[in-house]
Amino acid sequence: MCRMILLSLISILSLSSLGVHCEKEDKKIPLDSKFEQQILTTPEEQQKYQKLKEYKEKLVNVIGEYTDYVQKSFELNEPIDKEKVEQYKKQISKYEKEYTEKLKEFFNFIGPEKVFLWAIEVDKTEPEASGWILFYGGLSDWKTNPQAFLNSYIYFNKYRERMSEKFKNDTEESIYDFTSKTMTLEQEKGTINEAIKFLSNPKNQQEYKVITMQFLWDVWNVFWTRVEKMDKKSEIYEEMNKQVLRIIETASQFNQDVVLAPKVEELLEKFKGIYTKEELPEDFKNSPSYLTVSQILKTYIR
Amino acid sequence: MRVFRIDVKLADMDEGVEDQTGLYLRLNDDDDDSDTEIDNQDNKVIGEDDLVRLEISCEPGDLPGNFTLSWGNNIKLWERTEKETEITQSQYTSEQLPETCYVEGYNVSSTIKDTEIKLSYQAPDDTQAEDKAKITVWNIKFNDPVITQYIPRPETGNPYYIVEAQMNPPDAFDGKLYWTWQDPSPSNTGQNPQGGFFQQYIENGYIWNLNISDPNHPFSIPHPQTGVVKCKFYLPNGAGDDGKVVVSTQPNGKGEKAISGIITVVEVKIETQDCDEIQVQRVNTSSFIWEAIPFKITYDILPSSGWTPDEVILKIFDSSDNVVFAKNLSNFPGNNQIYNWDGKDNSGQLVIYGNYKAKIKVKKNNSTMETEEYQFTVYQINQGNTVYYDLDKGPIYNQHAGLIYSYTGGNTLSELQDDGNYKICEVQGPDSVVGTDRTLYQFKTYSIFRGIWTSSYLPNDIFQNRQTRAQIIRNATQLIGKPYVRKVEVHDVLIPNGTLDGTIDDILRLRCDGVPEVSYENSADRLFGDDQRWNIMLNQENLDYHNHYCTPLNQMLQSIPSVLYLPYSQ
Repeated sequence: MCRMILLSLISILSLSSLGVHCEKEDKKIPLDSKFEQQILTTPEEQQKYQKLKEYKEKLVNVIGEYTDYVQKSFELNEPIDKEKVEQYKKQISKYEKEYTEKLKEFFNFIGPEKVFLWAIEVDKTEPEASGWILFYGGLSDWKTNPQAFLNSYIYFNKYRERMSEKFKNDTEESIYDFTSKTMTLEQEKGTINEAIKFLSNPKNQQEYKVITMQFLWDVWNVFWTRVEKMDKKSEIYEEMNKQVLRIIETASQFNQDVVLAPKVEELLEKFKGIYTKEELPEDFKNSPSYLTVSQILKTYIR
Repeated sequence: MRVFRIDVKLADMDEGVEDQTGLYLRLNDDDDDSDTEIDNQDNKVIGEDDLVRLEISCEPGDLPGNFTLSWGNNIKLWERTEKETEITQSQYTSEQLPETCYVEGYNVSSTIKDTEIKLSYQAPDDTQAEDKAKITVWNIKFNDPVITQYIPRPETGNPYYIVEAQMNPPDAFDGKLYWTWQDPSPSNTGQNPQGGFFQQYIENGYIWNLNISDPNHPFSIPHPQTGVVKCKFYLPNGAGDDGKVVVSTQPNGKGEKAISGIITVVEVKIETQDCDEIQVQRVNTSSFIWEAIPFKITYDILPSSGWTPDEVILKIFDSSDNVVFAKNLSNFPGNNQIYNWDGKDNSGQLVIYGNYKAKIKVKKNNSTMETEEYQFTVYQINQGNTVYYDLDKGPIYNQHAGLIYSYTGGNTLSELQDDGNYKICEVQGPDSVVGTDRTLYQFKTYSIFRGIWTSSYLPNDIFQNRQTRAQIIRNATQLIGKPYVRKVEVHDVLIPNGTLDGTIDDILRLRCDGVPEVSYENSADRLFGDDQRWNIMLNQENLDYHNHYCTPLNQMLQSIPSVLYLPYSQ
């Protein structure tokens, strides 16, 4: 099965492009604090983080009060005041809701890339918490959020050198499982659309577009290998042919770009490899747009 | 006028002694022919040696007239020492008079000299004459102990026994009975009690008079009506020490005497320092059956040789003093004997946690000895309870969940209270699998510990509660080896293989709170969730509900506080 092809040249990019300051490690400051200093570069980010920590502290304190109260009452065989317990629970629920909202707001404010970097860093000391960072940072719900999947793919490829082996394996297997096992047609369509949209946005960095072209190929190709086992193959193949047309159309915009043009060619070569195979599924070959795509690929590739 | 003489001569006594002091004749209540019949009830006794010779004579030998021989009911006269032919005739002529016969003490005299043998003569001319000899039929015997007595050695001080002897009539031999200790077997462990081992005994206000003005020759004065003497007799305090008590009419066991049965000091005790301190009940994580760690009871039955108890019984009592377990133990004496109690009552059920005591009772003849109570507590480990700590890293606050899986300690309080002896079943995070690597100590000290909890829906009935806990542990065991959800799946409690089919086998990956959640709910014991959708294993809808609402924190908040073991005391 096709696995992710790693883009090693991107992985060595420094955090400087994100505005993240790398300083010599000070052993007196815990790693996450040090990291926080590096990643929260603007006063506004720092203020928001400070505010978030206050919400967290409120939640932690009330949970501590609640657990102390009920545990001690039980251990001392003293009756538990149900009203008091309910008040605690209401308070916890309220503070948890506030904290969660603030956490999401904060992650939204600093953006997904910093969230991803934070998850990588926290993973080194508390892997379980890093999963929650991805979750609250909007990077985990790939099934309903194609942007989260694309972002995760981009940052995974960009920062793989910074990750622990466990983090790397976990993410790699997650991408593989999603694309090769559980992704539905609708999810595939959403993902391809998201990637094309990303490529089309002139504000996005070139290095990310390079990774996105790899992403497009991975998603399309892995899904294509699964179509034969699906119902309504003709419709799916036709849809995928149309996707290739849109990809070619989008990618062709970068023909003059020094960095992207070779990657575009590489991508189209891969598609051509599929379309020029001697043995292709009948439904694929018979789908209405198959010939059009084949013709265009011949034109583009010399 | 005719000169004549009639005479009864008893045991060669002088005439004056015969009339004044008379003869002290011991009641013939022994068994010289060892036929188990007391001699005075036995008509023929080979080897009889308790009869006293009586010579009867008259001069001249052909003295005319009638002779009457009388002797009352306390004695019997026999023709020969082996008895066989009793003399019952009382009227004689001189030719008929028996020259020799033998006197047997048959009944004890009520007072001294209350019995006499009298020979009366009436001549043809009505001249009368008589000769008599006074007799006191007496007896000294031990009422207690008659057979071997086994005296329990007390925890402190010397053991004692209240010996009881009896002399009748009470004022025989000047009304004094002397006490002496006799060690029957010098090669035995026995040793004489040291000075001061006699003590006056008071019973219901009556003082059994003991004269110890000369401690070497203490004597008692028999009760004026019954002739009974009692003395509190202290013994050496080592198990195996034995001896007999001699009661005699003269000091140092001399004169007339009786000897008691053997008094032996025995000991049965529970060696508390070698016994288990507590007993722990737990779920066996291989069989998933509740078991108690065998409770070691170490005990001594001493002396370790030379006797065999009739019965040795171990009894275990609950806090209401009901016997929950009784068992006959090996009836061999010895040091450091061990019985391992499996914690089950006589119906084969594990007892309920709480306070218990053990006692061992030893029976020998008519003696019963019992150990002091050995008190201990049976504890139940609350396996299956859930534990949580704070997952507080950077901007993230959540909790990590685990489950108390096993107890690896033994039957001591310090082991019970050592968190290092409890294993936690958990899945620690990405790239980990469900396992039992960490102890409760490691779990508690990893982060801020949020206590021990359990489901508020566990059955209250102790036996059902135990069954439930065993099932939870069985489910947790089935989860061992399953991996944590991927980082991007952390919003899901568990990831099934396709659509959930409701079996643990179908679970591909799970989050930390999934371990308690599945362990409880796979056997339909509710942990987290609303009334409709609490069972995560029931269907996809319930799983989706859990994936949406369940977190370690919410799971903890829906639980109730609990403790590591019961009974619990800080």
